[in-house]
Amino acid sequence: MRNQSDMIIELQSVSKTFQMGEEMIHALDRVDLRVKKGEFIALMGPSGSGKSTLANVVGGLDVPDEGQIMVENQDIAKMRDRELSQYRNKKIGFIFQNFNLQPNLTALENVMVPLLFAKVTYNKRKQLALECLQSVGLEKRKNHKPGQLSGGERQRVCIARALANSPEIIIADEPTGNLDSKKTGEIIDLLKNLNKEKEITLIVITHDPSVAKQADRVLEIFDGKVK
Amino acid sequence: MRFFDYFRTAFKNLLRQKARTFLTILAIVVGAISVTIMLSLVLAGKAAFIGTMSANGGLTQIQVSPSSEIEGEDARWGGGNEPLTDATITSIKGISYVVDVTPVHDVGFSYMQLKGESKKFRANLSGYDPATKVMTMDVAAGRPLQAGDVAKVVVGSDTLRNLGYTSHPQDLIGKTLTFVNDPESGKKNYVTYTDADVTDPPKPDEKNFGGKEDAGEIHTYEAEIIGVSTAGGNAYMDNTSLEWVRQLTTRKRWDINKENSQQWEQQWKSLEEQMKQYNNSKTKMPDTLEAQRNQLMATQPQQEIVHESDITQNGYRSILVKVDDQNNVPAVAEAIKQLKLSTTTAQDQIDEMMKMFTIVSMILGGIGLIALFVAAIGVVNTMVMATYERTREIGVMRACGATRSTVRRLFTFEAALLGFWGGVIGLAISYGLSKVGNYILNRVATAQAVPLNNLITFPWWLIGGVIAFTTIVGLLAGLYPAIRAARMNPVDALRYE
Repeated sequence: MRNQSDMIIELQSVSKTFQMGEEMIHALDRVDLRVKKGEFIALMGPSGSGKSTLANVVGGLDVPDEGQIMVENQDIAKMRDRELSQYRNKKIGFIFQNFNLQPNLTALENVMVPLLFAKVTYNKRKQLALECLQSVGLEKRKNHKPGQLSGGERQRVCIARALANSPEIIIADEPTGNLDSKKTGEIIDLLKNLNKEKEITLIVITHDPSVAKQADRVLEIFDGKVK
Repeated sequence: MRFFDYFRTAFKNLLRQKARTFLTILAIVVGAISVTIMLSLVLAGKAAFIGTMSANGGLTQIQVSPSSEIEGEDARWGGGNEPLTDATITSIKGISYVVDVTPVHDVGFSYMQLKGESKKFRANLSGYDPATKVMTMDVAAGRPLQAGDVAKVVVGSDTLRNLGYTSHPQDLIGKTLTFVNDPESGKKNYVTYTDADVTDPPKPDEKNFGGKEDAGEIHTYEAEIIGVSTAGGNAYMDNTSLEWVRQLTTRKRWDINKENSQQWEQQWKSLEEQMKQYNNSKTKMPDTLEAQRNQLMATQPQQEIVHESDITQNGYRSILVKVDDQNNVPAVAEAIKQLKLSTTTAQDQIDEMMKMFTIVSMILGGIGLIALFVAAIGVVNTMVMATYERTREIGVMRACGATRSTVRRLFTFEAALLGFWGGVIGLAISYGLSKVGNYILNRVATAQAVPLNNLITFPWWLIGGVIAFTTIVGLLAGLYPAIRAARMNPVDALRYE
């Protein structure tokens, strides 16, 4: 039995069911999962297998029907909107396949968004966001809007935004799904660097075996069950 | 999120769809303008009315007239109504809060004209006692009446206009107004001499013994124009001193002094009686009786000039009472009514008018409110569209740590900002319109010698009220879309295409 404090995430028989018309879909079926701090985990599985739901409940975007999700000894499954929002803000960084950057904001302003909800002052926000852009190597593009950036650059802005509040966990839902293989390598290298240097726990959903190969552990999900 | 960040973010978001934001604000601007213009018009109307009423101290005045209640059986001969006399004035003066009292009496003429000109005008000359503190006559030019003024006139704005001096009232000062009583004019059957005539009527000869009316003669009375009153009070009245009116309404004619003649006739009768007895008894009359007769013949009463005052015989036309404070006017009016007199106060008329103004402002305000309501629907529409367009963005915000209430507040803030800008721009445009309106009104007011300037005003409460109101309208209109946005499931929002 590993030391309790080594585990940053512990799921105990977490279930989540969706109703699709007449059919009940078991997105998560009594899932048990333990993730070490600083671990790089790849989630694989066919679409509809429940990997996104798993990422979402861990990230505090979704709430399970049953079970316990202990993150740093706090059960986020029992949190209310305000606490859960704060949890997402402070502990989690999300990276999306389609980047989800605000088109009217510059790269820098996009990175500042999470800091806005952390009630950081404007000047401090700017400074922190700039540091994050530097860590993804995009400080020269800080005043460009998403439309003026390439796909790889956009994903790096997205990573910088995920880093803004120095989270402990980054959840990336197919971060390289919209990128070519060269850019995919760059992004995964960047994520691995962050994972190693900053000890950020990394949960990456992917279909790409080359990405999964980089992970410490690959979890395969079928019909809401983790193998 | 910090308060200012809400403001900054909302402002930025509004700038994303400039055309739509502009059109939405435009609708609020129209609503704000209609509410503002309606309200300021009503305010201007109220101000103009009260200004007119309060001119010359009208708000603290009570006009007293003889009671219209009939006490006798028949009012045809004016029976029953106690005339307004100096005794009435004394008793009114005894009422508390009464500052001063002046009798008012008017005098009619066939016409009046400016000396040296041929145009004839209707004359309405009213006299009050300038020594009292009742009338605080405001003058547009010249000076008000003073104690001791006789044959001096302060003309009203109606006369000013008739004489054609509206644009330069000061030029009228010092000119002479001639009041004419002309038997040929048909307005008066006969014309008599008055105390204001310098000359006395010619002594009647034997034929018209007893003081036949001196019909057929034109009487003119000249008065100097010393002032032009502002358009307050009664614009149709020209004012002069009561003293002059007293003279003008006191008839002057030759007659035998009634008391003296009655006494003389009694003496003459008794003397004749005695003489008859001597004649009948055929005895010689004593010399003393003869001497007595001669003496009585010599002292036979002659015709002399008698003065018949309208005021002494019929009382004053009305009495004006000055009360120390506007709030005491109703109490004083009530006390005067106890003396069996009728009263009219400016407050009565103001109360009536205020009821009307309230109705008008409710109607006009209602029109403005409908315009704002339509604008509010526009805000709802705009904000609902925005929540659809920005669904994924809402998802990102939630993922980045925004609570439901942060999202709700952000959208509410955006809608309130639409309302705020609508109110501000609407007020700015209304302000410009009011400048134009005031320019036109000022010209009209000057043309009418009305002492009102910049009638349309924007009091602070109106400015603050309109902006606050449109902001709240925007805020309320934004509530539904904001709540919708806040209720979105973040997972679904992020997947939204």
